[in-house]
Amino acid sequence: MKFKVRAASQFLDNVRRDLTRPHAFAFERVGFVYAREAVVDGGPSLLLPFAYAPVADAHYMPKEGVGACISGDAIREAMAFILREDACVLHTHMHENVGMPKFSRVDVRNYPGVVRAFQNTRPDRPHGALLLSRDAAVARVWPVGAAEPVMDSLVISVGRPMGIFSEGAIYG
Amino acid sequence: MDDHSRQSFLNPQLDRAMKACKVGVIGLSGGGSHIVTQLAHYGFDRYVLCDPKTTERKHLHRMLGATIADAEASAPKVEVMERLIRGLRPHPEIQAFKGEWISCAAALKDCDVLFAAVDTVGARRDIEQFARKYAIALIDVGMDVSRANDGGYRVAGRVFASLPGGPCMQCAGFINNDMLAKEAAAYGMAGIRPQVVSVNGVVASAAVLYAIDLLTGKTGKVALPCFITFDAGSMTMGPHPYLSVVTSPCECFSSSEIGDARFVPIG
Repeated sequence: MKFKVRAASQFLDNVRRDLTRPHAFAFERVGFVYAREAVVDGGPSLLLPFAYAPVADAHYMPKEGVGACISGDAIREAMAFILREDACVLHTHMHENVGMPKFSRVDVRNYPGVVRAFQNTRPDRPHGALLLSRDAAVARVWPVGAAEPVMDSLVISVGRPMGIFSEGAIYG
Repeated sequence: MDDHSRQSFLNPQLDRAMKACKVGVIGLSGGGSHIVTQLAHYGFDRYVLCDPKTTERKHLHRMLGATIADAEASAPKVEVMERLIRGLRPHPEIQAFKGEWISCAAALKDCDVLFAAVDTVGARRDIEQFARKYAIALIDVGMDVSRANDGGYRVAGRVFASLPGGPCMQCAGFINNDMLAKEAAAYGMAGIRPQVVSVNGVVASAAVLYAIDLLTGKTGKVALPCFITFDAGSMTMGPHPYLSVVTSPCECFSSSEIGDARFVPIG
């Protein structure tokens, strides 16, 4: 099972703008990108972002050693959204470099717990994580029922210029 | 082995982009055959092709790649185009459908760039709605032959690029309800649809160049939105006059319409 996350570049740029707002004490911001899943004939499963919700300022908690720590309430809001909207969700944050972003060890360690919460809420949809840089993006998606993510998901940014990305590779 | 050294100045990553980017072409005759040919020459490797028709003699004056033997054998146009690609690319991935585009919509969803070379306004509107639902970059090409005031003919072509979030064909005044109503009233009376191979070639070239610009970001100078017209009489190409009334952003398509159709509870 492969995944392709395809979004308008305008959408991703709006998310970037939100994630670069300063916070009182967090070093980075977090948001949730909500997506519809589309069934493709003979291809990857398509995830199509349609909404974005930033984590509210009050839902960040001080914690040393991480860029941002968000509360259970933030996760619960995302869980309520995907339950109500029958949607997939991608935990989203940004590393402010140019070029391919790379998931940190903290990201990799913490995602399974967050994704498990989403899987428990909406077990019939894939969920995962989206990491943006200033001009690229990378995603890890957990298929339905999977304990491990699919590593070589494509992220397509549709606009001009168009971007085609997968972990470790920029295609366009 | 690929040797794209003479186009490497476009972008060192273009080769990889062309391998990853899936392109769809709807309509494989006048405009579509030019587009497929150029995409294959560039080095694109992943295709979804669809056209319901078979090759006839009347197509030979405008359909690149088609032969007299194809017309005599009534070869499906998708087979002619698949053969053409395989003659230029060593390992292409081709999904070819002999049918209306909607019959292969499940495959077209995977396309990142979609070219439409269709005859009707209604088909253009439907394909654009489809492209918006699945966040696909749509590049539409077409040509018209109309009576000029001096009694002669005016031959014109156009390219319209419809990107998610950007102005759509309705925003640009390229499609409106009057046109759709007239077309519906004249259903079945379309008569012959004049085509000129060289005009098809000009607009198809512009469409493919636009796709390459999307993938490489090379020029950064192409106007957005992209609505180009070609006047064969004066041999001039430029921005369509309707561009001056284009509104942005597009309010015709809502993000709630994204993705496959689904049941939504009432209330």
